[in-house]
Amino acid sequence: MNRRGAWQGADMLYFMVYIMVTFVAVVVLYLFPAKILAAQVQPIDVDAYVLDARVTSLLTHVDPFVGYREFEPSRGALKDRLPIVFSQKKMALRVQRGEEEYFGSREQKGFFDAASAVQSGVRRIETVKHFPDAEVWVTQVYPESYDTFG
Amino acid sequence: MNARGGTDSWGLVLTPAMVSVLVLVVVTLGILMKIRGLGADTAFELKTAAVDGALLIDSLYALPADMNVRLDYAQVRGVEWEFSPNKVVAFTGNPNAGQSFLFATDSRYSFSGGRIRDVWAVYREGNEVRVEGLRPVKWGVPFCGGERVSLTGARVLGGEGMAVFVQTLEGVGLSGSGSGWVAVLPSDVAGLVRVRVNLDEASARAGCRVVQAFAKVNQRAVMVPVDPFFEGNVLKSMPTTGVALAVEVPPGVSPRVLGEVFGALAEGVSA
Repeated sequence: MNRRGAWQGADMLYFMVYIMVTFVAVVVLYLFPAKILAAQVQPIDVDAYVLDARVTSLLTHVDPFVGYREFEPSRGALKDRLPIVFSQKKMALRVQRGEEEYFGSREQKGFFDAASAVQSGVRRIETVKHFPDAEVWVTQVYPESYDTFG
Repeated sequence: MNARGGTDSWGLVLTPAMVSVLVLVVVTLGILMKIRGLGADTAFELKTAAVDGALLIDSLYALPADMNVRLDYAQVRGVEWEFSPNKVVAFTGNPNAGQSFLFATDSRYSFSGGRIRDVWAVYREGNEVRVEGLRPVKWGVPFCGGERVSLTGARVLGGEGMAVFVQTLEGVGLSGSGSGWVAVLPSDVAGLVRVRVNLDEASARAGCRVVQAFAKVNQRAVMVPVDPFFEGNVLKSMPTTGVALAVEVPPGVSPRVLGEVFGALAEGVSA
C-alpha cells in the first residue's frame, strides 16, 4: 500500500472506530439509566417486611370487649387466622406452626414449591416468631425482580 | 518538509482531532438530553408512585384490627390514581398507559376505591377500607371479627316506656319468628348507647355489629358484658344460650335511629 492509501485507510479506521464508539455510547446512555432506575423500583424487602408484620398482627388475638392484644397464635387454625387475599401478586407465603402448614398465595403450595425449587432469580426470606405458646415460621418467596418472574 | 508532507502532517492531527471533538459533542449532548429527560421520566415517576401507594395500603392491613386509621398521601402531584381491590394504577391522562402495583387485601374488610386525582387518603374504619379524598375519620367504628350473626326474626322485649322502640324493631324484621333475643331498655347515661351482651362469642359478634352500626350513624355506643347476678329483671331473664343482647337507649335517641341501625344489620345479613 502506498503512503496516500495508508492515510486514507487510517482515516477510514478512525471514522469507523469513533462512529461506532459514539453510536454505542449514545445507545448505552439512552437505555441503561432507565433500566438501572427501573431496577431500583424493586420494593421486595419492604413488601416482605409489611407482609411479615401482617402475619404477626393476624396471629395476635384481640379481645372483642377491650381490644386488649394477646400473643396467642395457637387459638384457631392458621387458615382462619390469615385471611390475606394475594390475587395476582408474584410471591408465595408459607406459615408453619408445629405440624400445621399454611400456604398463602394464588397458586398455594404448587407455586411455593415451584418458586422455591428455582435457585437463581428467587429470593427466599425466612423469619421465626417466638410466641409464649408456639413458634411460628414464616417463609416468603419472591422473584429477584417483579418484572422477570412468574 | 514539502507541501505534500505538510498536508499529511495536518491530516495526521486534524482528522482524529475533529472526529474526537465530534464524538465528544455528540456524547455530551446525549448525556445532557438524558439528564434533562430523567427529570421528567413520567414512566419512572408513575411506577414509583404506584409502588409507594400500594405498599402504603398494604401496610394499613398490618396494624392491629381494633385500630381505626387514616393515612394521607400527598407526595405526588399531577397524577391520577385508580384503586381497585389488590391493585393501584398511577397515570396521567390515559389509564392504560399508567403504571401499576399489586397489594394483598384481607377478606375481613370490604375495599372501595375508584378514581382520584392528586391527594388521597386511605381509611380503615371498622370492617371497611376505603380510598377517598381527605375527610375526618369516624373513630368510634369498631372492627368485628368472625362471621356475621343474623338478628332477623329475633324475639324483642322492651323495658318500661320502650313500646315504641319495640314496634320499630319489629318493623325492620325482628318479629320473634326466628332465633335470637333482643331487649330495649332505658338508660340514664347521657349520649351513650350501651349494648349489653352474653359472654358467648356469637352474642359478642352480634353486639359488635350493633355498636358498629350505631357508630356509622354517628351515635356513640359501647359493648358491655352482662352479669346476671347484678342485673335488673329484664336482663336476669336474658337467655344464656344463643344470640342475646340488650340495647340500653339514653334519652335523645329516637326510635328512627334504632330502626336505621337494626334495619342496616338486617340488610347486611340478607345481602
